[in-house]
Amino acid sequence: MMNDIRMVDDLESLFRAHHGRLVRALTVACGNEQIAADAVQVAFVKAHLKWRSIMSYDDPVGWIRRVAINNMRDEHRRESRKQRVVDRLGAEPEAQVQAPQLDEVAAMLAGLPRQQRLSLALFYVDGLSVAETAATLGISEGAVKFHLHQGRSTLRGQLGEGVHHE
Amino acid sequence: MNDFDDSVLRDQLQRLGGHGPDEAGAYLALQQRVGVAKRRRAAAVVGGLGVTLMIGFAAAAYQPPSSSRLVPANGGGNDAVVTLPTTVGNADTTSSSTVISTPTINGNTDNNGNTNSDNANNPGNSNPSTSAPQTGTDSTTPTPIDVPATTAHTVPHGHATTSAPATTTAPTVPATTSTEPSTSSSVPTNFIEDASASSSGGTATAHLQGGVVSLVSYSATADHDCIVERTLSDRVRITCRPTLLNTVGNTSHLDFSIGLDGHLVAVSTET
Repeated sequence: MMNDIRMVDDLESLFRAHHGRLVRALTVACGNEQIAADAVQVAFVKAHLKWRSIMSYDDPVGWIRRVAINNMRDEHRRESRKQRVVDRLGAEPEAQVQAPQLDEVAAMLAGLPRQQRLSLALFYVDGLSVAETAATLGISEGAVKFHLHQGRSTLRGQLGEGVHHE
Repeated sequence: MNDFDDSVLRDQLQRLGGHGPDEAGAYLALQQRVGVAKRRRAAAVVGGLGVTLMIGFAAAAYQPPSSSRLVPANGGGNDAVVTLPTTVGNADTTSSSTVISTPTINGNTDNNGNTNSDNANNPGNSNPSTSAPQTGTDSTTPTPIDVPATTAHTVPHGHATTSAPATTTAPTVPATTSTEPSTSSSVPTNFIEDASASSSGGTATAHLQGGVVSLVSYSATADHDCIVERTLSDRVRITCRPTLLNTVGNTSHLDFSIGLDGHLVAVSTET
């Protein structure tokens, strides 16, 4: 019983420490806060159900982060399939709630490749190092540096003087 | 610090990420989803267990038809030892002096008589003192053969009594009953006894053992031919007909069957 309470406390403290930052990073990566929040919450639910084994990992937060990213990718695939079916049927798209107007940075970010968006989000928003970003995305550090360089160059070039190098 | 530190871009992206969700509300929502997931998982476990139990019970209750086999009720072993008397009296005095050391005889006794009654003789099983009732061999009888007159036929049998010659048989002798049960109601049904019957056409001797009647020997009188007409597990019939040269003789039947009291009954009829 005591161990259970401690486990829940550990998970709760972990949740309060990383949940908001992870949601913000995935929001930057996917451009939709609802999808990002749902993906992160599903990842924490899975972590809660498997917490006895996950708590013994070297980096439980890294596991949760990877699961959240996978959930977000799955959701993106589902949306893509749904959109393809709708296009194939030639149906009128459903009346959607007017999406909030993306600002300039968000519009430019949406045009970047997915790996670059993820690299930028994890590095600049979630505060991970290059090595942690590489481990999370399952790619090499060189690839992460390449994505960061390409993404920053694109954003800087399009924003002009809006984005200044330090 | 590394080459990618860019405070302006960091601020832009963090602003794009928004303020973030309400932590307390998000944690409550997380607990609710965890509860739903736990209930769903418990239901799946219980359902899977129930399906497994159902499959297990069904598999245990299922018996393929090919695997069913009859098992003798008494254990069916061939270890039943039946001791037969060393000398068997004649038909008039035959009584069941058999000593059965094991009262239960092979459960297949009653069933084998019908199927093995037409088999060839098997003299190898002619030692009844130590063997269980081998109904398949005890009930063997020869195939109907036209027997020339004055020829005695002896069916190979462990208790084959000497067959009477044709000339010694008194003609037109009525039926001869073999045994007289002393205790008709209390005696066991597994009598071991011999009985003889004679008529104007011939004489025959039958043997009863294990509820099966088997022909021991038969012989025809002069100018008569005897054939075995019926060999079932519980009855034997010998028919004796006059030969072509015999124009005055009668056809006679020597029937051996099991009476209601379990004893061997011999009946002779003339037509």
